[in-house]
Amino acid sequence: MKFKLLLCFLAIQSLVVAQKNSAIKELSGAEYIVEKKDKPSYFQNAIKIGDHFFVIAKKTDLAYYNFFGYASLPHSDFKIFKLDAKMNVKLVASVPAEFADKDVQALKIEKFNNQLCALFYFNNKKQKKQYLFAQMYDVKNCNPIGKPYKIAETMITQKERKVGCIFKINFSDDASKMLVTADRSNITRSRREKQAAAAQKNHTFSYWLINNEFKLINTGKNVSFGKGNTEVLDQVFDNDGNMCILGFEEANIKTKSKFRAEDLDELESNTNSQLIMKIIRPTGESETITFAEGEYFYSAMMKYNVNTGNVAVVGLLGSGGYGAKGIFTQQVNIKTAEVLNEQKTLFGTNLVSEINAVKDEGRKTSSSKTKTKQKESKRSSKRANPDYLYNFVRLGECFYNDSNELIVIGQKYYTYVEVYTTTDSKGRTTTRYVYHYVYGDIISFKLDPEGNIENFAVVFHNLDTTVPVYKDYTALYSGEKLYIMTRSSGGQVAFNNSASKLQTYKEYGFSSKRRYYADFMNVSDNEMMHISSKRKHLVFSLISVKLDQ
Amino acid sequence: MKYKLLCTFMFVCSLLAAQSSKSKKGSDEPDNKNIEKYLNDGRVGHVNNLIRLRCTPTFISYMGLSYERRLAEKFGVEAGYYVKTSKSPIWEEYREVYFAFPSGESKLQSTHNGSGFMIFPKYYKHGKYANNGRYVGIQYCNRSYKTDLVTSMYTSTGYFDGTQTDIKSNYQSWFLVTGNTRQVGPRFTFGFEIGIGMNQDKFKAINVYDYDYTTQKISTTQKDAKSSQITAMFDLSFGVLF
Repeated sequence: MKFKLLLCFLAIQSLVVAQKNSAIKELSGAEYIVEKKDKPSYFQNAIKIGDHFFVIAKKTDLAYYNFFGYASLPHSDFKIFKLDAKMNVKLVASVPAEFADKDVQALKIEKFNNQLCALFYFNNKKQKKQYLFAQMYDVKNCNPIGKPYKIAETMITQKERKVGCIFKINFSDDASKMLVTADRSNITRSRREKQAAAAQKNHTFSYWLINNEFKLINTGKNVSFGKGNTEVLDQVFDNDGNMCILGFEEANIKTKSKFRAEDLDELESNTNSQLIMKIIRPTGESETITFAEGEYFYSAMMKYNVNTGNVAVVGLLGSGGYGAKGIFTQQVNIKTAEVLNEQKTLFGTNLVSEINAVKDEGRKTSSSKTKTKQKESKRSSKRANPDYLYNFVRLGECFYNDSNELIVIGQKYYTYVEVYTTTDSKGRTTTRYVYHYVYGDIISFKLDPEGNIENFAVVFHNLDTTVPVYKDYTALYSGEKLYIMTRSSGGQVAFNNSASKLQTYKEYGFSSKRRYYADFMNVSDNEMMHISSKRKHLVFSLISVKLDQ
Repeated sequence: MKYKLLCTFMFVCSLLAAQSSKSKKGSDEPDNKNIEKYLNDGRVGHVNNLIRLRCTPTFISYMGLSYERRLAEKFGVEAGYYVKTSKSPIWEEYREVYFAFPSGESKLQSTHNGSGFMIFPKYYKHGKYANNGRYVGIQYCNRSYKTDLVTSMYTSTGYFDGTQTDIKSNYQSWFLVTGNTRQVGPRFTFGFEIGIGMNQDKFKAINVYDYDYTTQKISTTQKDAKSSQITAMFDLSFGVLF
């Protein structure tokens, strides 16, 4: 009898373990076919540690890229620059020797465990995996500390061998932990692929929580997260390792082959979409919260309040077809998963007309711009909706103030296509499409603790570019004052329901058109900085906005 | 007994499965000991040696290979040796050479029985190993061969063609070259180069013809001759890393 019992126990145990193994094996499935979209980048990001700035950049030139294409870009030729406060390069560090001759791409640098942590990813075509590596550098001498660590891996398909980074990496406020998530919805997908994803019952993602000694605290693979076409929008975590992942569950997917603008109305009204939040404890326990059911979000983000331990969820209500019709706010305590406050504030006709009535007196109008405006106005009149802020679709930043009030900053954004048709002497016609990305006015809202809009501020801005820009401006809220910094100007923004004029940089002008791959950073509580690079070589220029003390 | 055996078998199975599970779980741990394994994409890396087959010498029937060695992070040298086995199928025989003395128009009719070498120090702008890199360098080529030369000269009775065979000749060139090498596949490379420079042809004891219009006679003297030109180059190469 004893033997029988023992036999049963062992059989069950082996089955359980085998089940676990098969579950792990299944992770390699669920592969999507993606379209590769990648751009060469000179300049990855910059951080400040102590009195010095650290910049990670790739030294190459655009002319070379244009002539020979992506395949000819040099491998792993990244440098880490250490700069002083006057932007003098003090030290230059190369990538780890192990990465030489490999297509390892730099992702970013961050402060981690009081040292410099550089993150790299590598698409291993043979193993069909994307690996994420971390290399620590000594802050003083920029020397590598030990060997690079492989910290995460995810599957890629044969067609994804040149795909960009699938991982999202966040660092805790005390720079003692890092959270890595791998969500395949980060990869650009076609409509057919989205439909295939929606046909799946569950959306899944993977995560790794790593401490400053590169030990795995918590990990999860194939973690169920929402239904169908869920997209991970944002992730935050506290110093204890409680993770909060925000996703948008877009359950209603159109099956039409052609998606028309009129379908947007239907999409917004007959949708089962909602926001979904997963809170994962360091022990592995998790809780899922859903909210804003039936609402469509074009853009949403989270903000962690270190003082209260609350996470604010801010979303722009609306599909993006008209723009945004309101702001959704939600506060959740990350430790207890208690939903503290939920508010859906619609702009309403009055507020929209009030914002639209704000005029930019300093804006110059040229003939070409007038034409574009005419086109715009035609489009807007065709789909006019007085409850929507037209083109207001990009949620930029949000801040907490001392009174637990939220400051939400967004930007108008739209794209248009210019078509050039040329006919040669033999009558052959060539058509060329040029996509334009227009980054428009920046509108900021101040919300009360309940989430109602108190007042707003408008900064007129217009950047029309053929290259999509990751970040067009930066904002800093300090001492109950909001400061905004764009590529050309910066200054304080007043919440007085009118337009705020930013000061144009003195240095700006003579070479502004030749600057590429610029980035912003908040240097301290009262200083912001703008770093840019030029076409053939990196130029570190410091354009800072002096804030009031 | 059967139960005992079965029990032992199941126990071993469960242990193996548990071990397998542990190793799977362990693969999620950050790892800095097996970096080579993660970077192993089937392409050789960290290689300093490269053997190249160059297209331009091959097209003009110079059979040979060059060897490239990366000596430092930014510096490398390529050296090649070639043997001419047959007549060139393309332009080399039909190019004109210009001498410093009046001798009509001279054309290389054929070059044969030759050999040559090439030295090419390079300064690399990108890349750390021989696998990939953009570089600039000065390429020096020296080829010795025998030439058949035809000299055409206008006389009062018509054109005179003087043919000389087996002239000892030497060709030297200096090019300022920029190029790029890329690893293709597991251990192959493809490269291209463009350059500008000059070449010089030297001929030993060629017949120099001088036509006297009054006597209508052609006198012949033997001289060493040189011909220099400014020229451009383009080359493709295929290599094997080892």
